[in-house]
Amino acid sequence: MKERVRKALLTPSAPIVFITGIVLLAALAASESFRSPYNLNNVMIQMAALGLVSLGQSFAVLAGDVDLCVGGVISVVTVTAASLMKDSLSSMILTASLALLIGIAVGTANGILTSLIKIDAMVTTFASNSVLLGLALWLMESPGGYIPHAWMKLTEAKIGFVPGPLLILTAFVAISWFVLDRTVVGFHIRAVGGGEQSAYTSGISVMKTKIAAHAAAGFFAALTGLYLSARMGSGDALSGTPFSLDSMTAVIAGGTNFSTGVGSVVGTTVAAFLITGLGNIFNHMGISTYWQYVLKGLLLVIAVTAAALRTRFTEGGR
Amino acid sequence: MNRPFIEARGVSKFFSGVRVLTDVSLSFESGEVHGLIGENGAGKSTLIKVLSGLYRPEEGTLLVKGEPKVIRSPSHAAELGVGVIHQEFDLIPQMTAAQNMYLGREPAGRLGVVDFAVLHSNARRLLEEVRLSIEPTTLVRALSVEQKQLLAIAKALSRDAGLIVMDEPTAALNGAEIGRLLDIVRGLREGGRSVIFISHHMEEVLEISDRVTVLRDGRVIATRPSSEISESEAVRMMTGRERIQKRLRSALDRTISPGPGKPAVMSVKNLSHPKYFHDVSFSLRRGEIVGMVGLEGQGQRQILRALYGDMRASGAIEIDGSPAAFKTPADALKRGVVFVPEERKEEGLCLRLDIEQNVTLSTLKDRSAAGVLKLGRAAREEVRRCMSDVKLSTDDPSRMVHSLSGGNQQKVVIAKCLACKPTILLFSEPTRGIDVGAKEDIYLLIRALADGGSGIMVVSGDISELLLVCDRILVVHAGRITKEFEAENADREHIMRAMWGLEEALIDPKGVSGGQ
Repeated sequence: MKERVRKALLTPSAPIVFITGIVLLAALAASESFRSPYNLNNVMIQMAALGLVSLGQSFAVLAGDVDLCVGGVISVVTVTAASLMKDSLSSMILTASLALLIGIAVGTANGILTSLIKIDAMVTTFASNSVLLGLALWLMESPGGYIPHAWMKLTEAKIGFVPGPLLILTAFVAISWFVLDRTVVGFHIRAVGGGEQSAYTSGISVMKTKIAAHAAAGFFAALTGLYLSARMGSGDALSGTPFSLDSMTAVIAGGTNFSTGVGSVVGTTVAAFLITGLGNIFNHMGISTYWQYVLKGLLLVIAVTAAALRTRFTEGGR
Repeated sequence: MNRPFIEARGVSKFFSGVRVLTDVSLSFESGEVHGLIGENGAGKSTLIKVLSGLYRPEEGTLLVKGEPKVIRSPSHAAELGVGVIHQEFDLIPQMTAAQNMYLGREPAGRLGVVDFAVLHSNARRLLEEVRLSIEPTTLVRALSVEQKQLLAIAKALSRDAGLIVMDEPTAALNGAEIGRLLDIVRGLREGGRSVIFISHHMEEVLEISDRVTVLRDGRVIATRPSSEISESEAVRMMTGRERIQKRLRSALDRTISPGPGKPAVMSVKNLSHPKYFHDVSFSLRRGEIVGMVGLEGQGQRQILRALYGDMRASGAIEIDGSPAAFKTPADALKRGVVFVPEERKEEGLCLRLDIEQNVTLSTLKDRSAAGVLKLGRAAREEVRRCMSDVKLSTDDPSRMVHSLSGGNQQKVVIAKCLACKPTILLFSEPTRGIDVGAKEDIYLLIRALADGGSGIMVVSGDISELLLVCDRILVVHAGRITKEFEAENADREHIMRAMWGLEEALIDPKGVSGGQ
């Protein structure tokens, strides 16, 4: 039992869980408006977007790459949904499927470019992001379009006290965890991220694995786009912009290390919660958005430092 | 006698407890060309790295011009007058010859503006000294290998190096170029500089050097004037006598002789690669361990990679009598061929993952149903069994691989390969950087695998290792199999001579296959 506790404390996501716990307790104690049920519900709904996209980002980072075009995918998906979706159920299903296909297709293209032609993922996905952003703006210059009321209702659904978006996020966290920790594909992703050459020599197809990881990133980005379209009730070509970097922040702060194949989606989700929650807390404390950027940056530095210290500690302890 | 420019007294160097240099005492004198010879792994490059500040010795002292010094870094070594010319010249192709020579020490006025007039005139003077007739403004990427070699020497001279270390300077040069290079070396000697000359070509070393030092197993065996040592004497000193523990010897005794009657598990015919190897033919029988040996860069590693689908080659490979064409390692795995690479950290392991994940890396599909892994107790027991099969020092499958010693990491790689139930195992430098105890474990493991009916190939630069574990040894020289030995009645000296190309190929390479 003691051994279990020790191991739990040494997992990559331990630092972020600890930091988030402290911040949350402090905020609950300090701000009455923050701890109101209405606001807590709101934070949960807000965090679903960053949570979903960060799950996808986890796949890319664990495979040893990054995906800087998740923002572009989100933008394209929101404007696509706002342009095509009609009130009928079939239209909603078709549009949603199309959006998810777009995400998977973009991710697949990224995966092919990085593994087959061996362009650095940083460059590939940065370029894709630019292309997608341009397309989104061409499709819809200013925010607008039409989103069916029924579609918007999806985000307001509740089961008991629990907001629907939180349930959706939880389900996808569980699925991602399962895929990354319990399936062949997941292990291949971690192996490729931890040592591409070793994985190749062990008979793993690096190309297929990278394509799978990037496709997952694209899928989750598209899902996030669909979710945002419902929440905003419109399409917005710039709505995805902050997510490329915010999702990277969540993944790294969540304890996933670059090029090691180590990290957990639980840590990522907690980090996404912290990043969204911080904005909310700062708003309730009347801190300006400019300072929020500064504090967000500092948080990343602290979380990464904590992760580095953890690594040094665990290696020293052996 | 001249005074020593640099002197090593009782220098020893350890790597994670393994002694790689033992009590090395040597002096390199001004106005002397000093040849350094030894087998692969005898300690030549370690010694050079000590002199150039890359490694700091644990024991002993270095004296530069008679004063004890601790050489802290390569730049400190350069300050002290030690210039090293590596095989891969440290030159930046996109910059000019002059810029390369004065990199980091550009003559500049106030405000840091580079004074090109001074730069180019200084450079021109030194280029003349090494008889390199190019403009200082020539881009390095436009130079030939010979010109780069000379430029690297000029760069060392620009730092007024009193000692110039040349590591295999002739490796990439042709006959006429070698002659010119040796002339330059003589010029350096007349200029009162000290030169350390390392080469795999014995005649060259003996021709150019004033004195020759033989290294073996990290020790100085002898230092002699070149005029008083013959080629065969030098080879004998490099190889030494057999020094193998009796225990290991008897444990590895070939109980089951593979014999010519056994069927070939793999036969290779006319395997060729435009660059690395040509017309390689041989066969490997069940229960047989075949070694492949050659000097560094003769193509033996590439041959192994071609057998594993990691390098394209023409020719034919047959496994169990049916043709095999591997495009990727995954294809080879499907036919039961596994590879234990020499660079285990880069190619064999995912260091940050745990033992279980590493051991199962090649067999994930077999350990899953519909893509979902079976991670229950039974699966873990199987991993534990693989771990104990290779005598891993720990029985905890969740331990991170990077926390294991080199020997145990190698055992993890082997466990991963065994999990594939291979019929053919290809080892590249199976015991490089591994301590003695783990080495013995690995030798015994290899023998046990062969006794279990697998065919095994071992590429190694360590001849005594091959004599110990192998049934046959193939010598690779310049990309061809030039000689074959039965390990029973082979000796180090003959193998060495064949490796150095000193012995004529006595057999037609096509006849080497043995199992025909």
